[in-house]
Amino acid sequence: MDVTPQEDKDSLSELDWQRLRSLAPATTVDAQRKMRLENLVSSVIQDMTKPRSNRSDDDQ
Amino acid sequence: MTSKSLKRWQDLCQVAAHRGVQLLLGFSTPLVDPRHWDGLWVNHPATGAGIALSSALNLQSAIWVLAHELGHEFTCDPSLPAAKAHITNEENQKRWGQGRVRERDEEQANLWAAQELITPDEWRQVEKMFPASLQDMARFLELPVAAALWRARAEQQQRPAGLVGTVSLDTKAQVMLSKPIKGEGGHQNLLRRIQLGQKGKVLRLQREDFDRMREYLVKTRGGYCARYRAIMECALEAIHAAGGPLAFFRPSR
Repeated sequence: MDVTPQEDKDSLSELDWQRLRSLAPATTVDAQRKMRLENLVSSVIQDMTKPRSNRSDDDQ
Repeated sequence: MTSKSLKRWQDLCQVAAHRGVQLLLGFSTPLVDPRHWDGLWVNHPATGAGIALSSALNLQSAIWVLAHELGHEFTCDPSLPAAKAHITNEENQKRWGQGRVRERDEEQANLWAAQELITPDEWRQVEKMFPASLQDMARFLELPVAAALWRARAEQQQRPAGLVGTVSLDTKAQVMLSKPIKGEGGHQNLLRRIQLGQKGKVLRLQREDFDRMREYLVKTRGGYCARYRAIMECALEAIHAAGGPLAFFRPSR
């Protein structure tokens, strides 16, 4: 049985995400550190969503 | 977006902020379809801890995945190398919804997440309302069924062993339970254990077996389901009459 209500099945829109971001406490992280994190996350996601045999680190 | 969901969301974001975990909410990256991943927790000396949630999530999944990734932050072994990453995708979400995990880290994160999202009082209330259905609990809680399943697992770990309840079986349940059990496996083992507790129309049902049936009803289709449902319907009547599962399952004498 699918437990997700029909109205909640769709992905959140960018407007929804903006609202959710606004509910998170503001952080004091500097822009450079945030950019480093975004780059790291992008690279990890690209690597971890590759087929397993093509990953740079198969332990993850 | 209901107030219940938004409150859960805000609470999780507060936990992340307090812990110093950066959040990348509704994140997407070039070359990767956002539907191919759900969430990611990383911890690296150059960036500190961070959690990214895919832009393709719906609200319930976003809450559960954020809680799960935070679970890594709180349960990951600090003696491991400093750079760590755990990714969540649709495939392992589906497995978790059926109570299956491959790695201990993921199990620990799920247990942490479920307990963070669902307080003991809330769990007692929802289990009393819907003792036999994890799906109904999840619907009421406005969370994915995985959250209810892992909250139940967390409860099982803290509960003393040997709790038993007495169920009066109707004719249908007696017939279903007396059907021959062929082969070996999880269903067969469970049904054989339940059969051992049956004497005529009286069934002494172990709490562990009740919990197992409840999980199987989430992930099983077909013949075994009909047997579980027949037993569950009788158990449900007795549980409601006792005032809920906490009052119904008592230490075995």
